[in-house]
Amino acid sequence: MNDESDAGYLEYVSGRTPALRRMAFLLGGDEHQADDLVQETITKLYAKWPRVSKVENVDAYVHTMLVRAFLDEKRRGWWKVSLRDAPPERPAPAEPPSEEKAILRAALNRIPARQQAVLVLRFLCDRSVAEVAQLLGCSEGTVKSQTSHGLNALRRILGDRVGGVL
Amino acid sequence: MNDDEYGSQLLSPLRGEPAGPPAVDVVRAMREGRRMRRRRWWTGGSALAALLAAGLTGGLLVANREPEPSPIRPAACTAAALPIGKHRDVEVTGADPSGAWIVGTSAYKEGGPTPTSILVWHNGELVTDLKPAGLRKGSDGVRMADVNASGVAVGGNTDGYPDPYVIEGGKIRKLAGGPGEADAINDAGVIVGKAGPPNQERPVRWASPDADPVPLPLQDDPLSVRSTVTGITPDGTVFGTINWKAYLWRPDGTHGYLETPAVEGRRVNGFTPMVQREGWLYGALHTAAPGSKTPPLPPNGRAEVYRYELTTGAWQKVTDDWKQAQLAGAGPEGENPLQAEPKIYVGQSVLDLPPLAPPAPLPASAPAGLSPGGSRVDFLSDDARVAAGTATDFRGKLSDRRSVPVIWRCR
Repeated sequence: MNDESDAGYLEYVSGRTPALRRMAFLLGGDEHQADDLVQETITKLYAKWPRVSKVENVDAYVHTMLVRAFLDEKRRGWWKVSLRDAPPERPAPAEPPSEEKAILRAALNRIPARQQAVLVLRFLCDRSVAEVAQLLGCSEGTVKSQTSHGLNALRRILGDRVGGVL
Repeated sequence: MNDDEYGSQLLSPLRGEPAGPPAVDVVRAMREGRRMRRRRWWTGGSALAALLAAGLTGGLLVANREPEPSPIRPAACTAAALPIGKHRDVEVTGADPSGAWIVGTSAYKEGGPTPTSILVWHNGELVTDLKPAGLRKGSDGVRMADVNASGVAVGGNTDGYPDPYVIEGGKIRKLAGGPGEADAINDAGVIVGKAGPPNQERPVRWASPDADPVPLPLQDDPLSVRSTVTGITPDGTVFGTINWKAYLWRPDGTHGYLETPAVEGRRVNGFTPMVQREGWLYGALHTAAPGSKTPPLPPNGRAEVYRYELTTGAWQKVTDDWKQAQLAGAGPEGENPLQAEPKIYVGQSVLDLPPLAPPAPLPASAPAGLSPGGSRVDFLSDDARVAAGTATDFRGKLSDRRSVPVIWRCR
């Protein structure tokens, strides 16, 4: 890979890392996992950069890579597999998540990975049904039905929490 | 409150930004990415060949049955689009075990017409095309989940106010018993699903489309468990999950959790049944490393496709790489991913299905390097002569996207 191509990659990654990390964080709810997902995504991105850099919408391509990495890690169990050779020292979060957040996140983690991804992409990343369909490589009808199944599962786990007090 | 409003409100506390600076190492990404490029160059297509070879060697003996080839394995299949009347965009949602009856829906599209229509085909001909009356304003419509050999279809709506529906003789009506969902019907006309107000639903059985729902017995307090009802076999065995673990209700009245097989070197988290064909329950067996700290429940851990024979209790592994071929009608992540050249399991063998030829020339590539689309196989008949599914093309503009219902006929 030549210097010019590397420069393009570095420019892209430095500009997009915050947005990628935010999407990864919303998907999994954990900063460490988010960093691992972004690390995996930008590693694969570098491997494919000469080709990817020529596509029209690099962001859509990279977001698809990130969502796939999330689904793959859910299958493997990300808590067992770290991409780091030696995990860096990390400060504890400034404040622990509220009980409400912890309960919601635990419930999300209990539903199938694709349903979890659909709910997060639609309701936290504000993606349209059509965009989510394209990111996940499925039809809009599938996104709708997975939304419905995922929300039904959350209702069952959490009880009726909307509009009330946790 | 509809699903979209509910989802937004429910998850809104999780909005936010990750704390602290990112711990991402770009130099390491470039170093490892460079290594990946070199590996890809050297290994070329051999990984794919190894993957296919592994998949085609069949399953593994788990219990007391030798793996055996499926008795029926068609040699060749042809693909054809099912007729869709005035609609533009249609998906298959179910079929009966013989493949004579297929149900579908006009595809939901953001900003498109709602409620959606229900379509029913018999021997490949469109025989019913209807919209239920009396749905709430803004409802997406009703989706049929299953149909039997008499053409009786069952399903429900997915707008957050679920009601169970049945189509009989070309007419749709709600099943008795109030809110709920109808998930499956067998050829004897027995329907299974759930009934009860939101958050209090419990598994039920309608002995016929005209019967009142009768609760299926449970070992635990029905209001304290999370349940799914997945299907019913020809002899009336009902299968689903209770608290994420496989649960069976046998025709003789016995019921309980399905005992899972032991897997050497792995902790078994549980089995999620998905489809039944010819006396076998197919589903995902979830396993984790022995020391895993995660809860020992599906869907935690690695998913592999196993099957369980209801009469003998034998377990067999179908594949540990469920992405290479589809289990018609389901997948460990809910639904099968689209495949450009669809492959499905017939027993433990893999059958190639031809892609549907596009009706008109399309742009050659997908936008932005995304998936060009492909086919999802929603159904395979017991004799493996008929498969049905949906082909979706992502090439071109989002607004041009179409889903086409497909029937494969094999011999």
